[in-house]
Amino acid sequence: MSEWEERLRQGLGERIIKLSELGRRIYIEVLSRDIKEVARYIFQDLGARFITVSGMDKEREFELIYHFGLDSDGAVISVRVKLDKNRLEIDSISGIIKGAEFIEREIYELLGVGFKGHPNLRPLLGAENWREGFYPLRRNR
Amino acid sequence: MERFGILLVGSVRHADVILVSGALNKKGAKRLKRLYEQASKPCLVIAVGSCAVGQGIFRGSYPISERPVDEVLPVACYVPGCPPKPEAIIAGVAKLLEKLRGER
Amino acid sequence: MKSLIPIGPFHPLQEEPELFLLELDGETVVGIDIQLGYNHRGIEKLSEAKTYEQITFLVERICGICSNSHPLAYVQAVEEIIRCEVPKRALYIRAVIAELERIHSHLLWLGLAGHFLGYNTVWMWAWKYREPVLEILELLTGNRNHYAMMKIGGVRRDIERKNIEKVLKALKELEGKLSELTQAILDDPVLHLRLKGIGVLSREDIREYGALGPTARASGVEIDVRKNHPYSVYNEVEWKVITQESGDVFGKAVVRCLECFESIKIIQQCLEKLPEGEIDALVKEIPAGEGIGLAEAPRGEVFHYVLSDGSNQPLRHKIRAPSYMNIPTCQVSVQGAELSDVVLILAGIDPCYCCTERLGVVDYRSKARVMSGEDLVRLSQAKTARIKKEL
Repeated sequence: MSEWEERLRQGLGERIIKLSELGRRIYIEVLSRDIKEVARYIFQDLGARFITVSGMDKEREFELIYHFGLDSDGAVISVRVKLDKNRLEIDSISGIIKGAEFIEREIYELLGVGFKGHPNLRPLLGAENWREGFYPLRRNR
Repeated sequence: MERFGILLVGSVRHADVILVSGALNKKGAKRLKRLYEQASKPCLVIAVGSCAVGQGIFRGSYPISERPVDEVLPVACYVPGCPPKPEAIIAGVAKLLEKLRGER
Repeated sequence: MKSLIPIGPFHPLQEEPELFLLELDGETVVGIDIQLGYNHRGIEKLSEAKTYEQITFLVERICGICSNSHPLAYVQAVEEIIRCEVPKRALYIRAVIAELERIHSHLLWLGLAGHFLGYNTVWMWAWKYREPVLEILELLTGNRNHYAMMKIGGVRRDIERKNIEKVLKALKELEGKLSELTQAILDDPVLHLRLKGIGVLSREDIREYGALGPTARASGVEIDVRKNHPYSVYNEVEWKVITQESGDVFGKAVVRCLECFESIKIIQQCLEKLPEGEIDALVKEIPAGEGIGLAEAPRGEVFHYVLSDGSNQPLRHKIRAPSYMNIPTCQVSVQGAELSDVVLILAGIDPCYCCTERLGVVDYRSKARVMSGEDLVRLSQAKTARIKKEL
């Protein structure tokens, strides 16, 4: 077990559903309801740098991946959460990491995911010109 | 560009030529039309760069206007390239001026 | 005399500014509203409809001055999925192009800062010294920007031996000129008065916002992808990460000036050590998998995430440019600032320069829009003129 795996398991324990490590890339999967604690642990306790969040419509479900940089080691931790396509919402982490504010707004706008507790959840990129209910990154069924 | 008698102005009301560069997005199309209408005529439009000439690499992308620039405004000169070299832009403007002088 | 007015992604035709809306109380800034999207082109979605090779050309056009960094990060993400080994010679060439871009981008910024300050000499000199860099890029790649050099598995064009001499000579000349320019700038008392103490960001601010590049380094935060997540050959040549402690606009300017010299050093070493060999790993297929690519653009870290299902088009391509993290820091850095300093504070983080055109000022009480970006530039230039007189 690498040092990072150890520290992640130590701090997050049961919350980690899956963990895979290859070279300098660590991917873990957690439940969406745990995202605030997981983000807090990685950002505050591990001192990682917040990189961004990537979102995706995977048809059966939606997936968000929160990416963090471990700059002292040249590694990246990517935290995967799955969202039920009929309940597209998750807690905002912008209270812990100010840098997450914009990206959560962008995901809200492009994928239609709601971020509970976000201070300013409105479109970022000019969606007022698009059709009602148009989420560009969703797969059209 | 000033060597060729071309001066950048801050307001469309003082412009004889409008240079449009880049892909038009849906927001931009309406405004561009309005801006052109405000310009005192005659006012020539030059489309600079492949995106202004014909949407270029962003064709089909959702925020990009379905109508290229020349369906929104009457384009008098097309300078393709991605990006067009500075020499190409000057050559395009010079050609346009030549053509105008010829027609007078 | 004919006249021209440019309109386009760099001077979007807006009567209403959309990017930064400042709220004033008297002459002090009390709030800022930031809206993006003026140039949203839907690139991530477009990526899904293009082949892996086509995407290299697409992402070059995300930004005209970080034109190399995006393809670099992108191909690295894909190379991570393939787990291919990029030939050494190609890795060296990648660094040469990347550092040339850094120099010309920083000089572009220097010129703009000069313009906002009302120092037209700085503006002219910076852009004049930028020309030889653009000429080198044209010599090596065929273009002054959008070089199309990056390729999955290597680079698309080799550097010919006969060009190396020319480039080294041009860089030596440039170094001398840059030294003079840098010294002139750093010693100027007016610039000290104008740029010190404004737009300050603390280390905490940098961390909370995830700020990057010279913006972060000027606040003493030593993050640089080239050092932290080494790629290409940055861990095989001697160079140092430049930081400052002040966190103000002056510090950001110093970082950018000094970084140019590090870049010149890196290019010289790369050209001298350039090994023989292939420039291309000749990749045939992209297997299923996911990959992450990081590169240090002139503005900071560029992040690309690619998800492949084994077909010739990606399933998902996530792109995060550095300015995306830096722009929100304005909420902190303009608080309590004088109106005449705003343009410099915003320029300090080096957003795509067009962003600073998109400024507007709203009176806090009446909610009426009272000034445009051009007005703010003029205010800044007037302040410099005042200070010069007083000295």
